[in-house]
Amino acid sequence: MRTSIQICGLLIGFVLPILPGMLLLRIVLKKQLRGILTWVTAFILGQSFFTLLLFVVGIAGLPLTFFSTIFILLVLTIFLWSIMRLCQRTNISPQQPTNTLTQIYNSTSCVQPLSYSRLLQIILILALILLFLLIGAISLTEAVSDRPGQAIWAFKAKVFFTEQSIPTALFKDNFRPYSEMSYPLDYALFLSWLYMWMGEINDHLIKLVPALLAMLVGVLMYSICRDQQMSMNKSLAFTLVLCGNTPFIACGQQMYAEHLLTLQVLAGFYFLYCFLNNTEQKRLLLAGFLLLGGGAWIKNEGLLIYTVAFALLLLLRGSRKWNIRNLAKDLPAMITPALIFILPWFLFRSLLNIPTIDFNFGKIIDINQWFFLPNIKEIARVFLKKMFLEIRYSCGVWILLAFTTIVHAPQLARRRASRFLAIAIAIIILVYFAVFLFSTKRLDWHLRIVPRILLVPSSLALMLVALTTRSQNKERK
Amino acid sequence: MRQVRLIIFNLLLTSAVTVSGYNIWKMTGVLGEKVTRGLEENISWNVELIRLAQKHVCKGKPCFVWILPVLRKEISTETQVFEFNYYLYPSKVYYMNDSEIGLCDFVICEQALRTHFERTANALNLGNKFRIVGENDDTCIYQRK
Repeated sequence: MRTSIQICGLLIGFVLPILPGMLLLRIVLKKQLRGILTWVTAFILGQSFFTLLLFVVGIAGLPLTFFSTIFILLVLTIFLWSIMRLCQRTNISPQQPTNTLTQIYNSTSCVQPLSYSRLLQIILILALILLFLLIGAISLTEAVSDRPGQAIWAFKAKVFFTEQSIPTALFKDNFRPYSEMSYPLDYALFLSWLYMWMGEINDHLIKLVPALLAMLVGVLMYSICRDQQMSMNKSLAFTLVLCGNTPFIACGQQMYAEHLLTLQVLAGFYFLYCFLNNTEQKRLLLAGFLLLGGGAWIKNEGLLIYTVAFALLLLLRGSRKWNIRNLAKDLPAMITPALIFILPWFLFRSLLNIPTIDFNFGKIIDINQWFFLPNIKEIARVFLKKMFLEIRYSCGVWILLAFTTIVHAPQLARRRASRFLAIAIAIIILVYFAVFLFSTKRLDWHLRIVPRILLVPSSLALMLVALTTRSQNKERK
Repeated sequence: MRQVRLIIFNLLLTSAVTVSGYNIWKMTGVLGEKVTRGLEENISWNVELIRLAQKHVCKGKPCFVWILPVLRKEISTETQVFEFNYYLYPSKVYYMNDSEIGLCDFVICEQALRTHFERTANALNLGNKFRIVGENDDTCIYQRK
């Protein structure tokens, strides 16, 4: 009975951030969206904003109890609702509720491709259901028993829940170097919020969270494919390919933050992709960067991805119609999310002088000594092996991408949105490569995480494959 | 040519889906194994030791961990320390430098390292300041007198 109540609490706590997220999405896009994509995006935005608010309240010294956090959520929701109402009043021509991003922002009509067979559809749906049930069941067989849980995320959540605050002493504690105090607090605060809903620390049930997040990544991928008017069979197939690889499954069973980051980055890049298809819609740009900003609030890796997207968009926007006025219009939408999500955490970090343990630019090896050169071969070998040879690790995502890139090269070069995605994926992988190459840490220590860090780029790669093949079909018709 | 490309792409996609299916199949085996072995064993690498430590280490008191890696299960000392750190919170767990023993009220020590620990404690002038409060076949727990 007690466990049932705790599971109910966990699920309620998990879905509640959708409320402010939905309102925020309506404010940003100024339109009412429908469909699963909206719900998933609302969850992502809502939980980022909510945990950011918890962080601000926590470092201000206010207690983080069950009732105070509910009060915070309520205030945030009412505040966003008031802004939304204000926006609706000032809106001269209210928009009709519409279904998908593609229908709103693409002027071209989309053709629904024929589905292959009903049987295949049922098999794919059953496979996905089985996959997520297995991820959830295997997660529940173990308590928090992995390094990211025990040392980083669940540990910090436990501290916040027990202390009912964000104790700054924890971040100054030199005896906890393995707790990675330089990592942002989004995931830890979200977990502690769920502990509040469960009423106590439950080391078994909390393992459901990564499994639920894994499921959301699958739902997001499916909804992106469907948003692009792709057939149900193909959408399900792409979802299964994304969710069926070994690192994805492993991250769903352990307390890694990878799935939360994948959610933010995948949704963020999809909004930017839509923006580049119709650059008049600045709201998509803001929504995209808000999501990517949320990614930077989850892991330091998210900041790298945000920076790549920022720099690349500046270059691509400038390449054709270089116009200072255009750029001036875009920049606020690109910078504001950084100020909202990244600035508070970095101010906090610099005030407390929290060092980065994994990698920082103070730890770069002496380039003049050239002894890093032999590492290039080793790093390239591991990357290529994990991407192309060990099919169970990648499920052939990179082979699909390579094939699509070769076959659809002219289309990729011609379409700005596809080009943006392709270059972003390449740069992100190159930056990982460079970090491994110049880091002073042991190379094998870095290389063991290659399959896991490739999760985010591989989700983007699969999205690019889906969007490219889909638009190719559409162009042909 | 387009048809050929489409066929190759569909073949690749089908292969990818098949690999996913294979991974799901392997997962059913993993779940079956875990259920067969029993849930209890999976709670931690050594649930008995965690329980022993939780029983004897006073809440919030600093603790030094001196244990060997479990080579059979490929579990490093560091991993075990993470686990102690997590399950004994709010106690601080130390493990790196011998000199930190002086900061601690408890020491969790592998039976095989007992003599080594007592020799080190003597060298740090802490020899008669610890007494055993709990032990099992593999590990003993010292408390500062």
